[in-house]
Amino acid sequence: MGGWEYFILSSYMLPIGTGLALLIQKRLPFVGSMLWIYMLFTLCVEIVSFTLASNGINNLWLYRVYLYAELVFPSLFFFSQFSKKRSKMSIVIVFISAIILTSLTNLFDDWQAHASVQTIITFGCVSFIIISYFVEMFQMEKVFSPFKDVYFVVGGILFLGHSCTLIYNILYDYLVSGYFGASILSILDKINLNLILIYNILYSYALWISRQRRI
Amino acid sequence: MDQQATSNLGLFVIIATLVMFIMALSIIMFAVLYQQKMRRKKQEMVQLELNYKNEMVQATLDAKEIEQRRIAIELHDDIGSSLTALKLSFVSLPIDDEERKLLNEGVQITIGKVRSLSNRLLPTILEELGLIPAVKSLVNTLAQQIPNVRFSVIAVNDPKHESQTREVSLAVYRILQELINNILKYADATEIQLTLEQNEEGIQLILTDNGTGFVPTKEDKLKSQSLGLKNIESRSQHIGAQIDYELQNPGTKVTLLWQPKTEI
Repeated sequence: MGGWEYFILSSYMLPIGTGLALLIQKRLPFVGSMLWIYMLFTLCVEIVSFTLASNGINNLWLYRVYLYAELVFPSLFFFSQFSKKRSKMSIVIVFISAIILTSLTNLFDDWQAHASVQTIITFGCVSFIIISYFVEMFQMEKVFSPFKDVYFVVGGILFLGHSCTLIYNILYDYLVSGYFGASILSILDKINLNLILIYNILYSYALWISRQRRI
Repeated sequence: MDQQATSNLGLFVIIATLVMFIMALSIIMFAVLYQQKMRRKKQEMVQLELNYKNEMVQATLDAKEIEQRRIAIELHDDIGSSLTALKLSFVSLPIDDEERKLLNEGVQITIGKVRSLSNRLLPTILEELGLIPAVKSLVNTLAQQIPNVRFSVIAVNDPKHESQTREVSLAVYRILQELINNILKYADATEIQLTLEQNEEGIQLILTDNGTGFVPTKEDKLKSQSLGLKNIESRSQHIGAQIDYELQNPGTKVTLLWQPKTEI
């Protein structure tokens, strides 16, 4: 692991630090706390993952565990934003289906291999939740400033993040085996690594705008 | 697999990732643009509602002005003339001079009150001589009617450069009436000072009193049950004048500033 990788890993401290500062000042609302816990969990997973990889131990099983968090977080985070009963029901159904499908596929999968199928399931579930959120926003004609709304910002980051890494995660095993050439894996690795930095900056911003105002 | 095929597949992966990124970004951008459109639409709605409310208040004020004018003319031309005729008819009455004098005095006082009322409703002096004489006349009348309040007027006029229309003069006059009315009603003041200046630059009116100070908030102006503050706000908005309230120790200082719109 090089210096840049350490820098990217340390960038997680940006949203966690922002969240912690707001938490100490008692200005972190419930949604902010959810995001902060998710970031804290992500950092833990990343640290363990880097440590395992550094010691030559397969860490792909950890990604399978992390995928559950990627399913749970957006479902809980956006659930309160749906006002229609039908939307809430569909979110619950999609979430439960995604959890069942992921668990079933995990049962029959090799945990030492990359979770390509589970990634597709997670992407489908997260996309469904975020697009449903956008659709409800259009239907209800809610008016707000998108860049000052924590739900919109987090939704945007999640959707963009999952979309950008989908192909990479689906084809991970092929990429590692050199099927697409070594340079492609290197390019995609670099892109994904740098995207983490961008996401962390954006998550910090999301935590900052979620803060409770003092009148 | 040969080098060419590997390279093509790699390119496909990059393009597919790029397509996914563009697709996600497009959806997010669409949502952002939609929100901006919605916000613009809402702002327009709020503005329309505000304009409608202003127009409603203005229409009420216009109707009130027309009605006041009609009543003032009726009072002056009909009741005033009748009272004068009544006064003249006393000459032929078989009464002694003392009784005639008493009757004449009574009718004269009534004629004076009718004229005063008519003048308050329709300040003819404003139309005939302009804002400053009308304001002076208003203050003189009030000073006579309310002896326990000391009124003082400083009026600076540049008659060659009157920039305002009749509409502006009337609005300023009515605002002043309303402001003085509020002071007399609520401020418990014993002194009212008025400075009025008009020239080519516009009109500046400063009204100070030594009563209980009051500075209306934005909410007071909008939600007040009394028509007074709403009238002041609406009239000033209509002519494009700016009104500032400032707390004094004691009392309040109200500054009205009207400047003619410069056409580009």
